[in-house]
Amino acid sequence: MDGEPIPASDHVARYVKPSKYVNKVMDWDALLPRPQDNGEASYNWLEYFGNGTPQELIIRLAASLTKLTISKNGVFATFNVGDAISGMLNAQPHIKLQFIHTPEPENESHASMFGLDNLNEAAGKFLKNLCQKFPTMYEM
Amino acid sequence: MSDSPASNFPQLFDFVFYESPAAFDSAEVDLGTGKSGTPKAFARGAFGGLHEFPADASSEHSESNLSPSTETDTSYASHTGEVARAKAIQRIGELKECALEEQITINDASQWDLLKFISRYTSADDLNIFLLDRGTFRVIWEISDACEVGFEFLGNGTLKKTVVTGSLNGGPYSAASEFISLQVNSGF
Repeated sequence: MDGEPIPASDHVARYVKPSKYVNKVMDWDALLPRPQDNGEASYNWLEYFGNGTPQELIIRLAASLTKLTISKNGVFATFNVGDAISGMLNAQPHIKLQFIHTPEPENESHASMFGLDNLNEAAGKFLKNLCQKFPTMYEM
Repeated sequence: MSDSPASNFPQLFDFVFYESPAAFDSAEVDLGTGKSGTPKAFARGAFGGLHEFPADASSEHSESNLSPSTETDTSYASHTGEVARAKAIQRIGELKECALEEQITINDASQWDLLKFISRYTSADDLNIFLLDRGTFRVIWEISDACEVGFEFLGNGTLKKTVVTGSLNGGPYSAASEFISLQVNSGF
């Protein structure tokens, strides 16, 4: 499914580093692309790991991220793709989000979010309002 | 959403803010009572001149609840602020480690201004401090589900104050920023 859109009924998740998360509060740019990402924000497609609750899928995702250092002070943020696309159209009508499966070596569930830059703080707040947060539980 | 209280919005420190023509004076945002009972007076403070900030009548830290003003009041504020300041300094240490891991070069001038800010912070509530990818620091206050305020420390006494409004209940999300200068009455 490389290059294919993520189904609207599915979910994406992103590991939020401790620099963007403290006191259960997330920074506005935590779920936006980084400046060097040229508008392509890295996420992971949760249903790539099969069926299960978001918590179960997050655990499978975390186990798969062998190249990423996951801190106990970070957090996983996840949201439904369809809710993000439609909600963003209400939040910022000029923005049409796209979620594409973009697998990478040793990160087969990698997905990309397009449609935002790193400076759109209002869109960042929308995404942080939308997401569910799951603790990383332990150092991995 | 976080249950972080709004009462840690800067209202107790001794900064003198020199604002550009109030960009938010016309932003008549009805914040209602907010998720932590934030009164509209608080909203006026957030959107207007901070030096005119009225006491938050509902806050447990409101000066109106600490009458008459005595040395006890001062020691209370000093003690509580001390804990929050210590946590903030610890957080900066964590963020320095994050910067190394994420290969972010910390903006020293931003850090200096943040330290000055912390040195005058006397609220009991923890500061939510973040490191941005461009190396500057930002503090965010979640005023309510619909309104958040952030100070990005740009260095050299300049802050970028951003107010972001919007909620999942519908309607557009928007952000408005202005640059404000700060002057500390006593040296750090």
